[in-house]
Amino acid sequence: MTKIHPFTKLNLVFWLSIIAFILPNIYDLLILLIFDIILIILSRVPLFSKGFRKFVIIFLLANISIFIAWLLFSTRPGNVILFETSITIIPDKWIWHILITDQTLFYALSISLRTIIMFFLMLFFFAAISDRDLIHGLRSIKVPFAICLMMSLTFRGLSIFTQEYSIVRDAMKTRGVEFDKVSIIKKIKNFISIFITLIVLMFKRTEEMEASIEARGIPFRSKRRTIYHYYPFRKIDYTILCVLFLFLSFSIYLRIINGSFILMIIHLFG
Amino acid sequence: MATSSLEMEEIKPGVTWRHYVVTALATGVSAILAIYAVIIAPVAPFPGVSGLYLAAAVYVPLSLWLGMWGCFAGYFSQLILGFVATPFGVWSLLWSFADFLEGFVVLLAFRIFKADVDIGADLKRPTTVKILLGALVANLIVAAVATALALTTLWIITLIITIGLLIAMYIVNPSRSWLIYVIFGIFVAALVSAIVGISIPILGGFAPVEGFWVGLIGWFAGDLIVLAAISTALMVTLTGYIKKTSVFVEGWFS
Repeated sequence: MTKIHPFTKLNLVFWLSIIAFILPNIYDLLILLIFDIILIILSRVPLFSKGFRKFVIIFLLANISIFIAWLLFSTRPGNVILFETSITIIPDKWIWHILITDQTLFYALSISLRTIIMFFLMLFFFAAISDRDLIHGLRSIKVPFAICLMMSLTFRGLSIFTQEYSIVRDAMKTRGVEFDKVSIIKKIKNFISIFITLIVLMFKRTEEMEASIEARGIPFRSKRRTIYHYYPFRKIDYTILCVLFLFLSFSIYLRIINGSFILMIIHLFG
Repeated sequence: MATSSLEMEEIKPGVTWRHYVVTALATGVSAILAIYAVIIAPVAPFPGVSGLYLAAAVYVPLSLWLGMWGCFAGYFSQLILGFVATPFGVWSLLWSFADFLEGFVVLLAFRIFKADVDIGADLKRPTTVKILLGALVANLIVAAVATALALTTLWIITLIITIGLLIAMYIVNPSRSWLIYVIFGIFVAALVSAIVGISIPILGGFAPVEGFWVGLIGWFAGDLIVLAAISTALMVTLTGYIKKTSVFVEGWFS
Protein backbone atom coordinates (compact mmCIF):
# COMPACT_ATOMS: atom_id res chain seq x y z
CA MET A 1 0.00 0.00 0.00
CA THR A 2 2.85 2.39 0.80
CA LYS A 3 4.32 1.93 -2.71
CA ILE A 4 1.17 3.23 -4.37
CA HIS A 5 1.13 6.92 -5.29
CA PRO A 6 -1.28 9.02 -3.17
CA PHE A 7 -2.96 10.21 -6.37
CA THR A 8 -3.70 6.57 -7.28
CA LYS A 9 -5.17 5.97 -3.83
CA LEU A 10 -7.38 9.06 -4.26
CA ASN A 11 -8.56 7.76 -7.62
CA LEU A 12 -9.32 4.36 -6.06
CA VAL A 13 -11.54 5.99 -3.43
CA PHE A 14 -13.25 8.38 -5.85
CA TRP A 15 -13.96 6.04 -8.76
CA LEU A 16 -14.95 3.04 -6.64
CA SER A 17 -17.51 5.31 -4.92
CA ILE A 18 -18.87 6.29 -8.33
CA ILE A 19 -18.98 2.63 -9.41
CA ALA A 20 -20.97 1.80 -6.25
CA PHE A 21 -23.66 4.18 -7.52
CA ILE A 22 -23.55 2.90 -11.08
CA LEU A 23 -23.80 -0.87 -10.43
CA PRO A 24 -27.49 -1.78 -10.52
CA ASN A 25 -27.39 -5.28 -9.09
CA ILE A 26 -27.08 -6.21 -5.42
CA TYR A 27 -24.82 -9.22 -6.20
CA ASP A 28 -22.32 -6.98 -8.03
CA LEU A 29 -22.36 -4.63 -5.06
CA LEU A 30 -21.42 -7.61 -2.87
CA ILE A 31 -18.37 -8.23 -5.07
CA LEU A 32 -17.42 -4.57 -4.76
CA LEU A 33 -17.81 -4.85 -1.00
CA ILE A 34 -15.47 -7.87 -0.92
CA PHE A 35 -12.93 -5.84 -2.92
CA ASP A 36 -13.32 -3.02 -0.41
CA ILE A 37 -12.67 -5.36 2.50
CA ILE A 38 -9.51 -6.60 0.76
CA LEU A 39 -8.37 -2.97 0.45
CA ILE A 40 -9.06 -2.41 4.16
CA ILE A 41 -7.08 -5.53 5.10
CA LEU A 42 -4.15 -4.53 2.85
CA SER A 43 -4.06 -1.02 4.33
CA ARG A 44 -4.10 -2.54 7.86
CA VAL A 45 -6.89 -0.35 9.23
CA PRO A 46 -7.20 -1.04 12.98
CA LEU A 47 -10.98 -1.45 12.78
CA PHE A 48 -11.34 -2.78 16.29
CA SER A 49 -9.11 -0.22 18.02
CA LYS A 50 -10.65 2.25 20.48
CA GLY A 51 -10.36 5.20 18.12
CA PHE A 52 -12.00 3.49 15.17
CA ARG A 53 -14.66 1.74 17.22
CA LYS A 54 -16.51 5.06 17.77
CA PHE A 55 -16.63 5.71 14.01
CA VAL A 56 -17.79 2.18 13.32
CA ILE A 57 -20.60 2.52 15.89
CA ILE A 58 -21.71 5.92 14.51
CA PHE A 59 -21.67 4.48 11.02
CA LEU A 60 -23.63 1.34 12.02
CA LEU A 61 -26.32 3.49 13.63
CA ALA A 62 -26.49 5.71 10.53
CA ASN A 63 -26.72 2.66 8.27
CA ILE A 64 -29.47 1.06 10.34
CA SER A 65 -31.43 4.34 10.29
CA ILE A 66 -31.09 4.53 6.49
CA PHE A 67 -32.28 0.91 6.17
CA ILE A 68 -35.27 1.45 8.47
CA ALA A 69 -36.11 4.77 6.78
CA TRP A 70 -36.26 3.08 3.39
CA LEU A 71 -38.47 0.32 4.79
CA LEU A 72 -40.87 2.70 6.52
CA PHE A 73 -41.00 5.61 4.08
CA SER A 74 -40.60 3.97 0.68
CA THR A 75 -43.68 2.42 -0.94
CA ARG A 76 -42.22 0.31 -3.75
CA PRO A 77 -44.66 -2.26 -5.15
CA GLY A 78 -43.41 -5.83 -5.31
CA ASN A 79 -44.44 -9.44 -5.82
CA VAL A 80 -44.79 -10.32 -2.14
CA ILE A 81 -46.27 -7.96 0.45
CA LEU A 82 -44.49 -8.53 3.75
CA PHE A 83 -46.18 -5.79 5.79
CA GLU A 84 -48.79 -3.12 5.11
CA THR A 85 -50.52 -0.58 7.31
CA SER A 86 -51.69 3.04 7.44
CA ILE A 87 -51.25 5.40 10.36
CA THR A 88 -53.40 8.53 10.49
CA ILE A 89 -51.41 11.46 11.85
CA ILE A 90 -53.84 14.23 10.82
CA PRO A 91 -57.17 13.03 9.36
CA ASP A 92 -57.50 13.69 5.59
CA LYS A 93 -54.17 15.58 5.58
CA TRP A 94 -51.34 13.30 6.69
CA ILE A 95 -51.80 9.57 6.45
CA TRP A 96 -48.61 7.55 6.66
CA HIS A 97 -48.74 4.47 4.42
CA ILE A 98 -46.22 1.80 5.29
CA LEU A 99 -45.74 -0.83 2.60
CA ILE A 100 -42.94 -3.36 2.90
CA THR A 101 -42.60 -5.69 -0.08
CA ASP A 102 -39.81 -7.92 -1.35
CA GLN A 103 -38.72 -5.07 -3.64
CA THR A 104 -38.65 -2.59 -0.74
CA LEU A 105 -36.44 -4.97 1.22
CA PHE A 106 -34.18 -5.60 -1.77
CA TYR A 107 -33.80 -1.89 -2.49
CA ALA A 108 -33.17 -1.00 1.15
CA LEU A 109 -30.49 -3.70 1.26
CA SER A 110 -28.80 -2.35 -1.87
CA ILE A 111 -28.79 1.18 -0.41
CA SER A 112 -27.30 -0.16 2.82
CA LEU A 113 -24.65 -2.04 0.85
CA ARG A 114 -23.74 1.15 -1.03
CA THR A 115 -23.34 3.05 2.23
CA ILE A 116 -21.19 0.25 3.68
CA ILE A 117 -18.99 0.38 0.55
CA MET A 118 -18.69 4.19 0.91
CA PHE A 119 -17.80 3.83 4.57
CA PHE A 120 -15.03 1.29 3.92
CA LEU A 121 -13.65 3.49 1.14
CA MET A 122 -13.54 6.43 3.53
CA LEU A 123 -11.80 4.27 6.14
CA PHE A 124 -9.26 3.28 3.50
CA PHE A 125 -8.82 6.97 2.60
CA PHE A 126 -8.11 7.99 6.19
CA ALA A 127 -5.92 4.98 6.99
CA ALA A 128 -3.89 4.66 3.81
CA ILE A 129 -3.32 8.35 3.07
CA SER A 130 -1.71 10.57 5.68
CA ASP A 131 -2.22 14.32 5.37
CA ARG A 132 1.46 14.71 4.35
CA ASP A 133 1.05 12.05 1.64
CA LEU A 134 -2.09 13.79 0.43
CA ILE A 135 -0.42 17.18 0.16
CA HIS A 136 2.76 15.86 -1.48
CA GLY A 137 0.72 13.64 -3.77
CA LEU A 138 -1.34 16.60 -4.95
CA ARG A 139 1.82 18.68 -5.42
CA SER A 140 3.29 15.98 -7.65
CA ILE A 141 0.34 16.38 -10.03
CA LYS A 142 0.84 20.16 -10.10
CA VAL A 143 -2.04 21.21 -7.82
CA PRO A 144 -1.20 24.84 -6.84
CA PHE A 145 0.96 25.13 -3.74
CA ALA A 146 -1.46 27.57 -2.10
CA ILE A 147 -4.28 24.99 -2.29
CA CYS A 148 -2.04 22.28 -0.84
CA LEU A 149 -0.90 24.54 2.01
CA MET A 150 -4.52 25.44 2.70
CA MET A 151 -5.43 21.75 2.98
CA SER A 152 -2.51 21.14 5.30
CA LEU A 153 -3.58 24.07 7.50
CA THR A 154 -7.15 22.75 7.55
CA PHE A 155 -5.98 19.42 8.97
CA ARG A 156 -3.85 21.27 11.48
CA GLY A 157 -6.75 23.60 12.28
CA LEU A 158 -8.96 20.62 13.12
CA SER A 159 -6.58 19.40 15.80
CA ILE A 160 -5.77 22.91 17.09
CA PHE A 161 -9.39 23.85 17.59
CA THR A 162 -10.37 20.53 19.12
CA GLN A 163 -7.78 21.24 21.82
CA GLU A 164 -8.76 24.88 22.18
CA TYR A 165 -12.44 24.01 22.49
CA SER A 166 -11.56 21.70 25.42
CA ILE A 167 -9.31 24.35 27.00
CA VAL A 168 -11.93 27.10 26.76
CA ARG A 169 -14.65 24.81 28.07
CA ASP A 170 -12.51 23.66 31.00
CA ALA A 171 -11.55 27.27 31.78
CA MET A 172 -15.23 28.21 31.90
CA LYS A 173 -15.99 25.20 34.13
CA THR A 174 -13.29 26.22 36.60
CA ARG A 175 -15.01 29.61 36.79
CA GLY A 176 -18.21 27.88 37.84
CA VAL A 177 -20.05 27.75 34.48
CA GLU A 178 -22.33 24.74 34.33
CA PHE A 179 -22.75 23.02 30.95
CA ASP A 180 -24.74 19.88 31.63
CA LYS A 181 -27.48 20.40 34.22
CA VAL A 182 -28.85 23.70 32.92
CA SER A 183 -31.79 24.83 30.78
CA ILE A 184 -31.51 24.87 26.98
CA ILE A 185 -31.39 28.68 26.95
CA LYS A 186 -28.49 28.71 29.39
CA LYS A 187 -26.73 26.02 27.30
CA ILE A 188 -27.09 28.18 24.19
CA LYS A 189 -25.70 31.23 26.07
CA ASN A 190 -22.72 29.17 27.27
CA PHE A 191 -22.05 27.91 23.76
CA ILE A 192 -22.22 31.47 22.42
CA SER A 193 -19.46 32.41 24.88
CA ILE A 194 -17.33 29.50 23.66
CA PHE A 195 -17.97 30.39 20.00
CA ILE A 196 -16.97 34.01 20.54
CA THR A 197 -13.72 32.90 22.19
CA LEU A 198 -12.96 30.35 19.45
CA ILE A 199 -13.57 32.89 16.69
CA VAL A 200 -11.36 35.52 18.32
CA LEU A 201 -8.65 32.84 18.76
CA MET A 202 -9.10 31.86 15.12
CA PHE A 203 -8.41 35.41 13.92
CA LYS A 204 -5.38 35.71 16.19
CA ARG A 205 -3.99 32.41 14.87
CA THR A 206 -4.59 33.63 11.31
CA GLU A 207 -2.37 36.64 11.89
CA GLU A 208 0.33 34.50 13.56
CA MET A 209 0.31 31.92 10.78
CA GLU A 210 0.32 34.53 8.03
CA ALA A 211 3.31 36.23 9.65
CA SER A 212 5.01 32.84 9.98
CA ILE A 213 4.48 32.00 6.29
CA GLU A 214 5.72 35.39 5.13
CA ALA A 215 8.70 35.26 7.52
CA ARG A 216 9.74 32.02 5.80
CA GLY A 217 9.73 33.87 2.49
CA ILE A 218 7.11 31.63 0.92
CA PRO A 219 5.85 33.66 -2.02
CA PHE A 220 2.18 33.65 -2.80
CA ARG A 221 2.67 32.78 -6.43
CA SER A 222 5.70 30.92 -7.69
CA LYS A 223 5.97 28.81 -10.80
CA ARG A 224 9.49 27.59 -10.02
CA ARG A 225 8.80 26.00 -6.67
CA THR A 226 10.67 22.75 -5.95
CA ILE A 227 9.38 20.04 -3.64
CA TYR A 228 11.36 18.02 -1.11
CA HIS A 229 9.25 14.86 -1.11
CA TYR A 230 8.78 13.46 -4.57
CA TYR A 231 6.41 10.59 -5.30
CA PRO A 232 7.15 8.99 -8.67
CA PHE A 233 4.50 7.13 -10.61
CA ARG A 234 5.35 3.44 -10.84
CA LYS A 235 4.10 0.59 -13.05
CA ILE A 236 1.72 -0.51 -10.32
CA ASP A 237 0.06 2.93 -10.36
CA TYR A 238 -0.53 2.80 -14.11
CA THR A 239 -1.82 -0.78 -13.80
CA ILE A 240 -4.27 0.15 -11.06
CA LEU A 241 -5.50 3.20 -12.98
CA CYS A 242 -6.02 1.10 -16.15
CA VAL A 243 -7.91 -1.60 -14.26
CA LEU A 244 -10.02 1.10 -12.59
CA PHE A 245 -10.86 2.64 -15.95
CA LEU A 246 -11.86 -0.77 -17.35
CA PHE A 247 -13.97 -1.52 -14.26
CA LEU A 248 -15.71 1.86 -14.59
CA SER A 249 -16.43 1.34 -18.29
CA PHE A 250 -17.77 -2.16 -17.63
CA SER A 251 -20.01 -0.85 -14.82
CA ILE A 252 -21.46 1.80 -17.13
CA TYR A 253 -22.09 -0.93 -19.73
CA LEU A 254 -23.86 -3.10 -17.13
CA ARG A 255 -25.95 -0.11 -16.10
CA ILE A 256 -27.01 0.59 -19.68
CA ILE A 257 -28.03 -3.01 -20.39
CA ASN A 258 -29.39 -3.39 -16.82
CA GLY A 259 -27.27 -6.48 -16.47
CA SER A 260 -25.27 -8.13 -13.74
CA PHE A 261 -21.69 -9.39 -13.77
CA ILE A 262 -22.51 -12.35 -11.50
CA LEU A 263 -25.50 -13.40 -13.60
CA MET A 264 -23.33 -13.14 -16.75
CA ILE A 265 -20.76 -15.51 -15.21
CA ILE A 266 -23.49 -17.91 -14.12
CA HIS A 267 -25.03 -17.80 -17.60
CA LEU A 268 -21.63 -18.38 -19.21
CA PHE A 269 -20.71 -21.40 -17.10
CA GLY A 270 -24.19 -22.56 -16.18
CA MET B 1 3.37 79.60 -7.16
CA ALA B 2 0.80 76.91 -7.79
CA THR B 3 0.61 74.16 -5.25
CA SER B 4 -0.16 70.62 -6.34
CA SER B 5 -2.67 68.74 -4.32
CA LEU B 6 -1.72 65.25 -3.43
CA GLU B 7 -4.51 62.74 -3.66
CA MET B 8 -4.13 59.75 -1.43
CA GLU B 9 -5.34 56.59 -3.06
CA GLU B 10 -6.41 53.76 -0.89
CA ILE B 11 -4.37 50.69 -1.77
CA LYS B 12 -6.32 47.47 -1.69
CA PRO B 13 -3.92 44.58 -1.05
CA GLY B 14 -5.77 41.87 -3.02
CA VAL B 15 -5.73 38.20 -2.09
CA THR B 16 -2.84 37.22 0.20
CA TRP B 17 -1.86 34.26 2.41
CA ARG B 18 -4.11 35.73 5.08
CA HIS B 19 -7.21 34.74 3.12
CA TYR B 20 -6.07 31.18 2.54
CA VAL B 21 -5.02 30.77 6.17
CA VAL B 22 -8.27 32.13 7.57
CA THR B 23 -10.29 29.89 5.23
CA ALA B 24 -8.33 26.85 6.40
CA LEU B 25 -8.75 27.69 10.09
CA ALA B 26 -12.41 28.65 9.67
CA THR B 27 -12.94 25.28 7.97
CA GLY B 28 -11.36 23.57 10.97
CA VAL B 29 -13.60 25.37 13.48
CA SER B 30 -16.76 24.82 11.42
CA ALA B 31 -15.98 21.14 10.79
CA ILE B 32 -15.60 20.44 14.52
CA LEU B 33 -18.89 22.21 15.28
CA ALA B 34 -20.62 20.35 12.41
CA ILE B 35 -19.47 16.90 13.53
CA TYR B 36 -20.42 17.67 17.15
CA ALA B 37 -23.90 18.89 16.11
CA VAL B 38 -24.66 15.81 14.02
CA ILE B 39 -23.70 13.51 16.87
CA ILE B 40 -25.75 15.29 19.59
CA ALA B 41 -28.96 16.01 17.63
CA PRO B 42 -29.43 13.72 14.60
CA VAL B 43 -32.59 13.81 12.45
CA ALA B 44 -33.79 10.41 11.25
CA PRO B 45 -33.97 9.23 8.47
CA PHE B 46 -31.23 11.55 7.27
CA PRO B 47 -27.66 10.83 8.32
CA GLY B 48 -25.63 14.02 8.53
CA VAL B 49 -28.65 16.20 9.34
CA SER B 50 -28.82 17.79 12.77
CA GLY B 51 -31.78 19.30 14.58
CA LEU B 52 -29.40 21.81 16.17
CA TYR B 53 -26.71 22.43 13.59
CA LEU B 54 -24.29 24.60 15.58
CA ALA B 55 -21.95 25.04 12.64
CA ALA B 56 -24.63 27.04 10.80
CA ALA B 57 -24.12 29.71 13.45
CA VAL B 58 -20.69 30.52 12.05
CA TYR B 59 -21.32 30.12 8.29
CA VAL B 60 -23.39 33.28 7.95
CA PRO B 61 -21.07 35.50 10.06
CA LEU B 62 -17.98 34.05 8.35
CA SER B 63 -19.43 34.88 4.93
CA LEU B 64 -20.24 38.43 5.97
CA TRP B 65 -16.81 38.93 7.57
CA LEU B 66 -14.63 37.05 5.07
CA GLY B 67 -16.63 37.27 1.82
CA MET B 68 -16.36 34.26 -0.48
CA TRP B 69 -13.64 32.77 1.77
CA GLY B 70 -16.30 32.28 4.44
CA CYS B 71 -18.53 30.52 1.90
CA PHE B 72 -15.63 28.24 0.94
CA ALA B 73 -15.07 27.45 4.64
CA GLY B 74 -18.73 26.39 4.83
CA TYR B 75 -18.32 24.15 1.79
CA PHE B 76 -15.12 22.46 2.97
CA SER B 77 -16.34 21.97 6.53
CA GLN B 78 -19.48 20.22 5.31
CA LEU B 79 -17.29 18.16 2.97
CA ILE B 80 -15.26 16.99 5.98
CA LEU B 81 -18.51 16.26 7.86
CA GLY B 82 -19.74 14.27 4.85
CA PHE B 83 -16.60 12.13 4.76
CA VAL B 84 -16.27 11.64 8.51
CA ALA B 85 -19.78 11.40 9.96
CA THR B 86 -22.04 10.30 7.08
CA PRO B 87 -22.04 7.43 4.59
CA PHE B 88 -22.29 9.83 1.61
CA GLY B 89 -18.67 9.44 0.50
CA VAL B 90 -17.95 11.34 -2.73
CA TRP B 91 -21.59 12.43 -2.84
CA SER B 92 -20.52 14.92 -0.16
CA LEU B 93 -18.88 16.95 -2.96
CA LEU B 94 -22.41 17.90 -4.06
CA TRP B 95 -24.04 17.85 -0.63
CA SER B 96 -21.60 20.47 0.67
CA PHE B 97 -23.16 23.11 -1.59
CA ALA B 98 -25.94 23.36 1.00
CA ASP B 99 -23.67 25.09 3.49
CA PHE B 100 -21.85 27.01 0.76
CA LEU B 101 -25.16 28.52 -0.33
CA GLU B 102 -26.15 29.27 3.26
CA GLY B 103 -23.35 31.82 3.46
CA PHE B 104 -23.44 32.88 -0.19
CA VAL B 105 -27.11 33.91 -0.18
CA VAL B 106 -26.68 36.42 2.65
CA LEU B 107 -23.36 37.69 1.24
CA LEU B 108 -24.99 38.27 -2.13
CA ALA B 109 -27.85 40.19 -0.49
CA PHE B 110 -25.52 42.43 1.50
CA ARG B 111 -23.37 43.16 -1.56
CA ILE B 112 -26.32 43.82 -3.88
CA PHE B 113 -28.05 46.11 -1.40
CA LYS B 114 -24.70 47.64 -0.33
CA ALA B 115 -25.66 47.21 3.33
CA ASP B 116 -23.27 47.52 6.27
CA VAL B 117 -22.54 44.14 7.86
CA ASP B 118 -22.27 45.70 11.33
CA ILE B 119 -25.90 45.02 12.20
CA GLY B 120 -25.32 45.74 15.88
CA ALA B 121 -23.88 49.21 15.34
CA ASP B 122 -27.21 51.01 15.64
CA LEU B 123 -29.28 48.35 17.35
CA LYS B 124 -32.14 49.96 19.27
CA ARG B 125 -34.18 48.26 22.00
CA PRO B 126 -32.37 44.88 21.81
CA THR B 127 -34.75 43.09 24.20
CA THR B 128 -37.84 43.93 22.15
CA VAL B 129 -36.04 42.99 18.95
CA LYS B 130 -34.98 39.61 20.45
CA ILE B 131 -38.58 38.86 21.46
CA LEU B 132 -39.84 39.72 17.97
CA LEU B 133 -37.08 37.60 16.43
CA GLY B 134 -38.03 34.65 18.65
CA ALA B 135 -41.67 35.01 17.63
CA LEU B 136 -40.65 35.20 13.97
CA VAL B 137 -38.62 31.97 14.23
CA ALA B 138 -41.52 30.12 15.89
CA ASN B 139 -43.89 31.44 13.23
CA LEU B 140 -41.60 30.34 10.38
CA ILE B 141 -41.39 26.81 11.82
CA VAL B 142 -45.21 26.66 11.90
CA ALA B 143 -45.20 27.94 8.29
CA ALA B 144 -42.86 25.10 7.27
CA VAL B 145 -45.16 22.51 8.84
CA ALA B 146 -48.18 24.15 7.16
CA THR B 147 -46.39 23.94 3.79
CA ALA B 148 -45.57 20.26 4.33
CA LEU B 149 -49.16 19.40 5.23
CA ALA B 150 -50.67 21.68 2.56
CA LEU B 151 -52.65 23.59 5.19
CA THR B 152 -53.31 26.63 3.04
CA THR B 153 -55.25 28.68 5.59
CA LEU B 154 -52.60 28.22 8.27
CA TRP B 155 -49.89 29.03 5.72
CA ILE B 156 -51.59 32.33 4.79
CA ILE B 157 -51.97 33.22 8.47
CA THR B 158 -48.27 32.57 9.12
CA LEU B 159 -47.37 34.65 6.06
CA ILE B 160 -49.39 37.61 7.36
CA ILE B 161 -47.83 37.21 10.82
CA THR B 162 -44.35 37.08 9.27
CA ILE B 163 -44.91 40.32 7.36
CA GLY B 164 -46.36 41.93 10.49
CA LEU B 165 -43.42 40.87 12.63
CA LEU B 166 -40.92 42.16 10.06
CA ILE B 167 -42.70 45.52 9.93
CA ALA B 168 -42.82 45.65 13.73
CA MET B 169 -39.11 44.81 13.90
CA TYR B 170 -38.31 47.62 11.46
CA ILE B 171 -40.42 50.09 13.45
CA VAL B 172 -38.69 49.14 16.71
CA ASN B 173 -35.23 49.04 15.12
CA PRO B 174 -35.22 51.05 11.87
CA SER B 175 -32.04 49.52 10.50
CA ARG B 176 -31.84 48.44 6.85
CA SER B 177 -28.90 46.14 7.59
CA TRP B 178 -30.82 44.43 10.36
CA LEU B 179 -33.84 43.79 8.12
CA ILE B 180 -31.67 42.42 5.29
CA TYR B 181 -29.88 40.19 7.80
CA VAL B 182 -33.14 38.81 9.24
CA ILE B 183 -34.66 38.10 5.83
CA PHE B 184 -31.60 36.77 3.99
CA GLY B 185 -29.28 35.79 6.81
CA ILE B 186 -31.83 33.82 8.81
CA PHE B 187 -34.89 32.89 6.78
CA VAL B 188 -33.63 32.60 3.17
CA ALA B 189 -30.27 31.11 4.23
CA ALA B 190 -31.99 28.39 6.28
CA LEU B 191 -34.51 27.66 3.52
CA VAL B 192 -32.01 27.40 0.66
CA SER B 193 -29.65 25.32 2.75
CA ALA B 194 -32.47 22.96 3.81
CA ILE B 195 -33.80 22.45 0.28
CA VAL B 196 -30.36 21.68 -1.16
CA GLY B 197 -29.21 19.70 1.88
CA ILE B 198 -32.18 17.35 1.84
CA SER B 199 -32.63 17.06 -1.93
CA ILE B 200 -29.07 15.93 -2.62
CA PRO B 201 -29.13 12.85 -0.31
CA ILE B 202 -32.51 11.92 -1.77
CA LEU B 203 -31.14 12.24 -5.32
CA GLY B 204 -28.21 10.08 -4.25
CA GLY B 205 -30.58 7.43 -2.91
CA PHE B 206 -29.49 7.79 0.71
CA ALA B 207 -33.02 8.61 1.87
CA PRO B 208 -36.48 7.97 0.41
CA VAL B 209 -38.26 10.80 -1.33
CA GLU B 210 -41.23 10.25 0.99
CA GLY B 211 -39.05 11.52 3.86
CA PHE B 212 -38.38 14.86 2.14
CA TRP B 213 -40.68 17.00 4.29
CA VAL B 214 -39.53 15.41 7.57
CA GLY B 215 -35.91 16.10 6.68
CA LEU B 216 -36.64 19.58 5.33
CA ILE B 217 -38.54 20.72 8.40
CA GLY B 218 -35.87 19.26 10.71
CA TRP B 219 -33.04 21.01 8.86
CA PHE B 220 -34.94 24.29 8.33
CA ALA B 221 -36.15 24.55 11.95
CA GLY B 222 -32.73 23.62 13.35
CA ASP B 223 -30.95 26.20 11.22
CA LEU B 224 -33.54 28.89 11.98
CA ILE B 225 -33.08 28.49 15.73
CA VAL B 226 -29.29 28.45 15.50
CA LEU B 227 -29.10 31.38 13.07
CA ALA B 228 -31.54 33.49 15.08
CA ALA B 229 -29.99 32.77 18.48
CA ILE B 230 -26.28 32.14 18.02
CA SER B 231 -25.43 33.66 14.66
CA THR B 232 -27.16 36.95 15.52
CA ALA B 233 -25.31 37.15 18.83
CA LEU B 234 -21.97 36.60 17.06
CA MET B 235 -22.77 39.24 14.46
CA VAL B 236 -23.80 41.83 17.04
CA THR B 237 -20.86 41.11 19.36
CA LEU B 238 -17.93 40.54 17.03
CA THR B 239 -18.49 42.44 13.78
CA GLY B 240 -17.20 45.73 15.19
CA TYR B 241 -13.98 44.03 16.37
CA ILE B 242 -13.44 42.06 13.15
CA LYS B 243 -13.94 45.11 10.92
CA LYS B 244 -10.85 46.62 12.56
CA THR B 245 -8.68 43.57 11.81
CA SER B 246 -6.79 42.99 8.58
CA VAL B 247 -8.80 39.83 7.93
CA PHE B 248 -12.09 41.59 7.21
CA VAL B 249 -13.11 41.43 3.54
CA GLU B 250 -15.09 44.35 2.17
CA GLY B 251 -15.61 42.99 -1.34
CA TRP B 252 -15.97 39.43 -2.50
CA PHE B 253 -12.41 38.13 -2.20
CA SER B 254 -10.44 41.03 -0.71
